[in-house]
Amino acid sequence: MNNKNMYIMLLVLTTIITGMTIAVSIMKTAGTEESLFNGPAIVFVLVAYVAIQVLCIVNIRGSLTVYRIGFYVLHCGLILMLCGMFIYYIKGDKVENVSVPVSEDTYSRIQRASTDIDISDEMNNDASDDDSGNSRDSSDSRDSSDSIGGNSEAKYVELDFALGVSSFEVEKYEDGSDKFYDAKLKLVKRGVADPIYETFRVNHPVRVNGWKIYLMNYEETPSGKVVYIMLKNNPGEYITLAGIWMTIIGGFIMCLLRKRGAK
Amino acid sequence: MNNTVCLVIEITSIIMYLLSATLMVAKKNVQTHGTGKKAQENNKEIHGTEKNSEKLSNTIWQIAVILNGVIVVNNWLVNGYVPFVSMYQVLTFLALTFAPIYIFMKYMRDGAWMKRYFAIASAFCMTGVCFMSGRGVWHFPPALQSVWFVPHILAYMIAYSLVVVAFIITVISFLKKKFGTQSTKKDKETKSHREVMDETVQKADLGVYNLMVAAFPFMTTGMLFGAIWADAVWGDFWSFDAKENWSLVTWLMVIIYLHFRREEDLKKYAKIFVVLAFVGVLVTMIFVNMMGGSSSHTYSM
Repeated sequence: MNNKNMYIMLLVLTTIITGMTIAVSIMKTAGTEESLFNGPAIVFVLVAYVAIQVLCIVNIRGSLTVYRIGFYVLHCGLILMLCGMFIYYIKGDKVENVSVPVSEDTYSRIQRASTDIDISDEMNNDASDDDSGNSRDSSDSRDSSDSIGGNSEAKYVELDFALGVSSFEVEKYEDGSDKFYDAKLKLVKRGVADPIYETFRVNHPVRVNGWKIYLMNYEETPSGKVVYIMLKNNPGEYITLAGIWMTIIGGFIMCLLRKRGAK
Repeated sequence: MNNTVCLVIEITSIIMYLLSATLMVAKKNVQTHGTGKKAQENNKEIHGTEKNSEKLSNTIWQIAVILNGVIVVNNWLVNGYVPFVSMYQVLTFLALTFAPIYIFMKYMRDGAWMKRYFAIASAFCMTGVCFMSGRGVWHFPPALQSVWFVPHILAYMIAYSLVVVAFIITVISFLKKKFGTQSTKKDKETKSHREVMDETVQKADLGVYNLMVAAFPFMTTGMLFGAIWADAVWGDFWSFDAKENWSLVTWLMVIIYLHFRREEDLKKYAKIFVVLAFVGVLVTMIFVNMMGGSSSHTYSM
């Protein structure tokens, strides 16, 4: 494929993305919450973008200049970044909007698509020696051993550690809006008797056994404070990060280290 | 400083920016042809006037930049953090960004002639600032308290300012090309005038390319630093939020421009994407906030 056709393909894909963006913007303005970016269409577009990057790399000719090194770094970075995203799309997991009451209790079974942790399922620290770092989904909280992974309908995620929020502090501005808040995350790993306490803040997720735990929000209820957290398992994270840094560095090499007036 | 003093300083800086740009336009070369003594004296006189005009224009521009800087520093001191939270703060900073970028373009990309466009762009942003509420104290929400806050926005400010100037040059060179040559068609000097015009258009074309090339890595950095930050705060590198999508569209427009510019057959369409990139900047920065809905980037409303 020659460069001209490749650039036209790039234009077509960009037109699709732009069209989707405009459509979503119009829908949002109209008050509809639907997003076009969750379905397989966007995966197809991203695969096509990767294909164009590969074609670009194959097609480039000429001697190895600083510009060309930048070109390789940037385009390989884009490919890595998109591959990392695909890995997350296929193998990643996320549990959102989990409410945890502030107490010394810890929990290892996290309920999906709901706002509560199953409080009845406190972790027994001596329960198992299994420390593989994997989690299990169960379709029903009462017979969790029957169902393992890959079930999007699963209601619970079973962690190989237990977590809880032991304390929570909030600082406010005069008008009552939040200035700063942090929490103490209590973690109990299998086979380890003593709990670990980690400071837990917005913008500072805590990593445990392949999971990243995020402090998202909090609520003050009559029965006490409740902290909202999110758990995410992204096996493609480091690939995505490597791609991001390569894209940035490649962009600077290509565009700012080129010769003056060079095209 | 109270709001009225701020407004007065903002308006003064707009006037200064515009005055400086006008003086730079006025010093346009009007050399007298011929080799006689009188012609040489005339040219010398014109050259002297031009130099004075340039000096005056530089001084006025510097005053405008200082006034703009005063507003930015005031915002910083009043709020106690780098003033990037409200749209008022961002636009004030954006107007100031044009000065250092011009210096970069002047020394690194032979862009001394672009100065008036940078001044116009600053005035354009400061005019927007005057219509904005949001002077005074803005709270700094926990989600923005991140190491990525400054680099993400600073990179975007640099990229956006470059795109804005590229857009201004594209539009002005288009207007010059469209209307500049028609009036002198029958003139005896038409050919030389056309040649000058072609040179100007070519210079503008290369200038726009240099600006877009410089904008690309900063826009990429801004977008991807934003992705790293989003992963730390929201748990996703990319969540297809309206602002994210529009910034992606803007980035893609810049990419298409850079690719089309390289291909002889597609070169003539490249400038369309400078205009579209500018539209993308406007939508991302301003219109997305007006759309409402559930954008996560609602701090700047």
